[in-house]
Amino acid sequence: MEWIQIENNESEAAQILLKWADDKSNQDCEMPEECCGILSDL
Amino acid sequence: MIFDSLNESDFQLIPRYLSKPYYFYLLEKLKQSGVLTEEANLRINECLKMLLVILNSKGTAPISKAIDDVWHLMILETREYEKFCLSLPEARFIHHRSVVFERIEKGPATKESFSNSLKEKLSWFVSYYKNFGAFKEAVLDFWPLTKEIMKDKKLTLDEFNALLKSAAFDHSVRRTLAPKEDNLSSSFS
Repeated sequence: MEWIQIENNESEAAQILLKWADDKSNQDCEMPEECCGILSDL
Repeated sequence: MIFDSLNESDFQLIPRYLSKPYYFYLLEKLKQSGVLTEEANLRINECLKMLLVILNSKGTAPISKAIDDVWHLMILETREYEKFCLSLPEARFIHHRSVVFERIEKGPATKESFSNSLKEKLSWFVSYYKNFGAFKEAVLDFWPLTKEIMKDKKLTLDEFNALLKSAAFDHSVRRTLAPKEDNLSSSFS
């Protein structure tokens, strides 16, 4: 499986998505409950 | 009908990675919870996608409780689960950890950790596209943050998939300056 770390990606699309993350983290500091996801203790 | 857009290839991970008894056990347990067969297949397949990608991630997966519940069912059959993990390309046991435990252990999120967490989840969606193709409407409920992004950015599903495709295939990797000249070989992030 290939993993793409978006912070290392300079495409315009990646920058649009990263801007969303920055904007979102300036508005809230908590994920909506249903968006929390899960963790694997790797 | 939301399932109309799906085809056989959308379920191809099931026969590839699950033994028949393990698959029929999952199907029966989900049926006992009121989940119909088609929906159950979809949940199992998305859970397999998550488990295939998670070993390359930093360890978090932005999935819904419905998929987490499938994972819990898989883990409960410990021998089969161990065999399954060892059959994956990475051949490593995948441990489970709850978000609640993480929060209690590490404390509430800061703005920086929240931002990093969101970026990690974006990496997930781009990696999903790279490995499995576009998100289909039928699976969006299992990846709830996709809907949050589309809502915030006012994107249709096609537009969202186009962004992921571009980030997955048209990316140029950012180069960072090496701190020392003799360290050039490791200067690519």
